[in-house]
Amino acid sequence: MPSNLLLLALALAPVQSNGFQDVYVAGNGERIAFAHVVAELPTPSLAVFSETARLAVWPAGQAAGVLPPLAESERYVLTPDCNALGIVFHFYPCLEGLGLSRIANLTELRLPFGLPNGLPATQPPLPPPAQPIQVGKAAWVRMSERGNLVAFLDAGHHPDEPGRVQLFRRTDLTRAEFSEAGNYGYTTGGEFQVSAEGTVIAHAEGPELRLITAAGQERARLPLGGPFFLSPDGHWLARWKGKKLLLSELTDALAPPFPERSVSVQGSPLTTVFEGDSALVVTSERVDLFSLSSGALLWSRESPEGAFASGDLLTPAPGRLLIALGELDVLSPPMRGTRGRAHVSARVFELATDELLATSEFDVSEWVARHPHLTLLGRPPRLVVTTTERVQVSEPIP
Amino acid sequence: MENRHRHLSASVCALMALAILPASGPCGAEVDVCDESLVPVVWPLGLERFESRRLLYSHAQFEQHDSFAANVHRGIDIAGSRGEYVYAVQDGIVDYCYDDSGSGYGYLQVRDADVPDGSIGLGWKYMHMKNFKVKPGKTVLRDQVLGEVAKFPKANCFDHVHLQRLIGNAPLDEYAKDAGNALPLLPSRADGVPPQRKPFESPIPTGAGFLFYKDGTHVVAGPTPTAGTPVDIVARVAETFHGSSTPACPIAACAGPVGAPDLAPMRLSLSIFEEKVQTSTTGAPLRTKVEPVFTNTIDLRIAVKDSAEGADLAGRIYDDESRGDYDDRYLLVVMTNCQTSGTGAFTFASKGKYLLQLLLEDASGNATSFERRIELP
Repeated sequence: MPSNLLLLALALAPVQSNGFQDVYVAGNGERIAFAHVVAELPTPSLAVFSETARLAVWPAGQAAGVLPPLAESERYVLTPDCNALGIVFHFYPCLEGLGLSRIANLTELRLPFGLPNGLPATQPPLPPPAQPIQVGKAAWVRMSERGNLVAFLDAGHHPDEPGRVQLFRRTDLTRAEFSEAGNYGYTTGGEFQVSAEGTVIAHAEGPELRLITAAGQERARLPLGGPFFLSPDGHWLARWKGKKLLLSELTDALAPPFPERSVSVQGSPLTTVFEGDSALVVTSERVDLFSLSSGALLWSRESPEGAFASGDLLTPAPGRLLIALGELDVLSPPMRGTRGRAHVSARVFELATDELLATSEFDVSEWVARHPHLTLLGRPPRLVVTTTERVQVSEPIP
Repeated sequence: MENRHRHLSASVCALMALAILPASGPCGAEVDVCDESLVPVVWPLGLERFESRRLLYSHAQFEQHDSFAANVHRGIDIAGSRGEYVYAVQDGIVDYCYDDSGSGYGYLQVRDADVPDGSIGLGWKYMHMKNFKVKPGKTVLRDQVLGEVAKFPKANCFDHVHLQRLIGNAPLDEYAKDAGNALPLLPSRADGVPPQRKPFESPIPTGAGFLFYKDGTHVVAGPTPTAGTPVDIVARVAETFHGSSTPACPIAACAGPVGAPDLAPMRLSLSIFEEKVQTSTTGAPLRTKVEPVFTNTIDLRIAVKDSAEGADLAGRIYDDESRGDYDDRYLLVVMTNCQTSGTGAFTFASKGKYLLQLLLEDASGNATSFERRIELP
C-alpha cells in the first residue's frame, strides 16, 4: 500500500493527552489494548484503551476504563489477553530516627478490563484479598511484563547502602495470586531488569552484572561497561563494552560460560530489541539488525542527525520480519519557561524486501527521550505509536 | 550577591562553592566561597535563582549528623516536587543516562561542554530523576529541560534532585568540606568493603529548614466545572515546608519572614483559552484553534505560618494531603498580599476544551509556565 494512504489512515482518531506517562501495550491476534498513566487527571490514574479490528470502542479516543487513582507506588501490566493486572503497594509509616520508613503490603488486583467481543468490561475491579502478602519494608516494585514475577526492593537511603530484594511468583496464571519465591541482597542501587517471562533477573552492581534466578539464586557475574538488555524469554543478554556489543546466549541453568558474540556498534546505545533469531540495536545515529545465531549484520539504517530513539520487531508469519523505527527530531529543546518542539516519525519496514510499509509523523511539544514508544503486534499487524501527547494505532499493515 | 548569602552558614557557603566552580577545572588556590563577585551557575529547579529554602542536605550536614551518610553523600540535595522540570546548570554533553523511573535512582551524567569525548574532565550528575528529555551524546544548553524529578524511593527524605560535581565518574564535592582542597576524592568504598548501616539520626540541623514542594505552582479549577455555572479559579503557589517536630524550630530560620530576599515578589498571570477544533467537511479534525477568554494577573508575596497556630495571613492554608501519614507538624507557606479580586468567579460560557495557563515571573523576569487542560462536559 502506498505510504501516503497509510499516513492518512494513521491520522484517524488518535488518543490525545498532555499527560501520558508510562505506557503499556498488549494484544493477541484479535485485539489490542494499551494503557497510559494519565497525569492530567485529578490524580494520576491508569487509563486503559482498547482497539479492535472494528475500532468499535475507540472512535473518539475515549478510554475503555480508568483504573483507580494510583497509590504511592504501583505497577501495572497488560497481559496478552488484554487484562490489566495491578500491583498496589501500601505504605505505612514507622519511625526510624526522625525519618520514616515504609512497610509495604502487596495487594493483588485483578482488573477485569478484558475485552470480549471488542467491548470493555464494565464490572469494577475485584476487591483486594483478605490476606495481603507481607513484603516488609520496601522502596520500589518491579513486575515482569507477563505479570508472573514481582520484585520488591528495599533500597538504602542512597545507592551505596545495602538492600534486599524479595521475589514473588504468580502461582496461578489464571489468577493474580503470588507466593514468595526467594530473596537476595545487593549493595548498590544499580539497574535492575527482569525478563518478560520472569525467569531471569539481571541486576547491575558496581562494575558487574549479576544474573539471578527467579528464586533469588545468583548464578553468574559478568563484567559490565554500559547499558544491558535482557531478551523477553531470558535466553539472550546484550551488554555494551566500549564500542562493542556483547550478545550472550544464556543457558536455562544460567551456568557460565555463555556462548558469546561481539559486534561493533556506532553511537550512543539506547536499546536492544529481540525477536526470534534477531536483535535490533538502536543508537541515536544508527540502527542495526543482527542475527543472533551468526552475528551477521542483516539490515541497517543511519540517521546523521542522531534522531533514532526506539524500535520494535515482529514476526507476523514464519520467515517474515517487520522492523519499526522511531525517530525524535528535536526542533527546539524545551528551556526554562519555554516549551520545546519536536517532530516524531515512525516507519515500518519489511526485512525481506526492504520495503517501507507504513509511516506516521506528527509534531509534539512534550516528550521524553525514549519516545516514540513503538509496538508492533496483532494479526494482521498494527503499529502502536505512543508519546506523551498522542497515541496512534495504525490500520492493519499489509 | 545579595545579603541573604552573607548569612548562610559555613556549610551552605561551601555548598555554594560547589555551584560556582569554574568550568575550566578545579581551583588550585583557596577560594572564598562567599566571595560576592562569584556568580552561581543557574539553579536546576524552579526559577534560576538560588533558593536556599530548597537545600535539603549537604555533604557537611551529613558528616555532622551521620558518619555513614557523610561517606557516601557527595553532593547537595535540592528539594523538588515529583514531575517538576530539572534544568541544566551549565552547557554540556550527555555522557550517560540511566533512565529508570521506577526506582527513583535514575540519573544523568553531563560532562562540561569543553571536555572532549573520552577524556576525564569536569561534569555534573543529576540524580533521582525520571522522564529524561535528552539522550546520550547530545549537547545540552544551560537552562534546558533535562527531565523531571522522580519519586524518592525512601520515606526518610522528600522528593529531591541530587546534584553532584564530577571529575570523570568521581565526585568532586569534597569542596563542600574544604574549598581550598582541590584533590578530588574517590568514593570511600573503593576498598570494596560494604559499609555497615547505622541508624539514621536526625538529619535536620537545629533551627534549619527542611522542605519539599508539594505541587510547585499550579492551577486549580473547581471540582467539576460545568458550562454556565460560575466557578472559582484560584491560581496559587503551593509550597509546603516540612518542619522539625521540635516545637522550638524558629520559623524565621526556616524560611524567613515576609519580604525576605528569598521571598521576593512574584507575579502570577492566569490565562484561560478555549480550544476549538476545526473540522473538514468530512468531519476529520484539521487543527485546533485557541482563543483567549480570560486573563488575570496577581502580585503576591509568600509568607510562612506554622499550621499549628491556625489562621493564615491571606485566608488560605494549603493542607498537605499527599503527606497525610506524617505526624510531624507542618510549616505551611501561604500567600499574602494577594490581590485575588477578579479571580473569584469565571463562567465557562460553553462546554468544550479549555487550556488554563499559568505564568510565574519573578522581579528579574525569570518565568516558569504551567498548563493544564480541562474538558467541560
